Amino acid sequence: MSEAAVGRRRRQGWAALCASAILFSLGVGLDQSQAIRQFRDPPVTATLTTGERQVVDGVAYEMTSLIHARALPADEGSRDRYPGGMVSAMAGAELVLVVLTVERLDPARDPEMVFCTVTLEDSAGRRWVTDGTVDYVVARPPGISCVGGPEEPAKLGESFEVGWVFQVPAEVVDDLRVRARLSGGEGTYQLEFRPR
Amino acid sequence: MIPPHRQRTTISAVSTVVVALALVAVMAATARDTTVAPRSWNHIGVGETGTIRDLSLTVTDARATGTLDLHGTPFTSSAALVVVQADVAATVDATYLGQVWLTTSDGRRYDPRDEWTSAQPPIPAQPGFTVTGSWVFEVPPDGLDGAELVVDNDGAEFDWYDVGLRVRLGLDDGAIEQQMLPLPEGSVRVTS
Repeated sequence: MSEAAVGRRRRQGWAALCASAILFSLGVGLDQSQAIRQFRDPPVTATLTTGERQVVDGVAYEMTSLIHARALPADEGSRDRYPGGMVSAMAGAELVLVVLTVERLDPARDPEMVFCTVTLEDSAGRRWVTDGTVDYVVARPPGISCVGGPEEPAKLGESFEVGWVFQVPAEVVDDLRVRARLSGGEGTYQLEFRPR
Repeated sequence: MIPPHRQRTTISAVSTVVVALALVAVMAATARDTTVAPRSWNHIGVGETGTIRDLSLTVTDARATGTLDLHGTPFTSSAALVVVQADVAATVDATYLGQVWLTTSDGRRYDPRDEWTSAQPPIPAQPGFTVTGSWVFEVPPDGLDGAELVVDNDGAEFDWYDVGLRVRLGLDDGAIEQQMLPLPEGSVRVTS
């Protein structure tokens, strides 16, 4: 092999090495950004409607109801503070109460590590979180999170209800779906519930 | 005696190392400050609306005073108390307005005083609602010239290039009002 050919081979070798290094770096970067994006907003695992049940990571979830109204009944401890015992939304808004039924089915699933974050989303992609000014005063089921009641986690096979209260502009109430981001098990998942 | 092809290989390897070291030295010398995420800024003034990823903001008034009403009691400062009143609307997600500060022309940064949290725009601001309120900053009187309100998107797990807002407050004459300014509570209304 001539010296020129050896030189060309060597240059090609370096070029291939550099290209591989660049491709590897890009791959790692892409993988990292996807991992971050998936953690923040995991892909929707299943789309369900009211009354449909889905088991995710050993826990069953079902949207029992989605109620929206100008005013909802206050809970027992707050009833005296609201006229007629009703908590009202501000002008132009409505309150939305979302109730899920949760049941841990897999004994391997840690009862204290059943996490869910519930948000509302409209068809334009706008998202709402629970409203702290009404979330703790509207009457809701006794469950305080997807773990269970205020005192201790729910037992295996014991289903319970948990609710969240939102305040949204009145014009979007018929265009809402519920997103439940689930974590604490083997992965992070997202269920979408569309009210009937 | 080293054969010529060996000499060339050695020269090539040494050159590669030298170039790599030079590259590292140049990168180290010109590296940006990694403690500060890169930003470009939308510059607006009082009365103008600026929109960034998380929110849309209008500063409706900016005043400097020496005395404020702190829950019915006068609060007097030998510095300037800058009261910035604003309307904020969330664009897509709820925003917690955690990245708001005042900066002076010499680059010093002042966070909002927390005695008047109830006067601030209530958080989170959610889509379809507009929150209204005031932030209060305490700055040296000579810091009013060129003072700007800086508003950035809420922090996330990964902070990289983004666009923020800088609102020129128009306090360049350095005048400090003497009368006590009341601070109404922050409020929310539906705007969609």
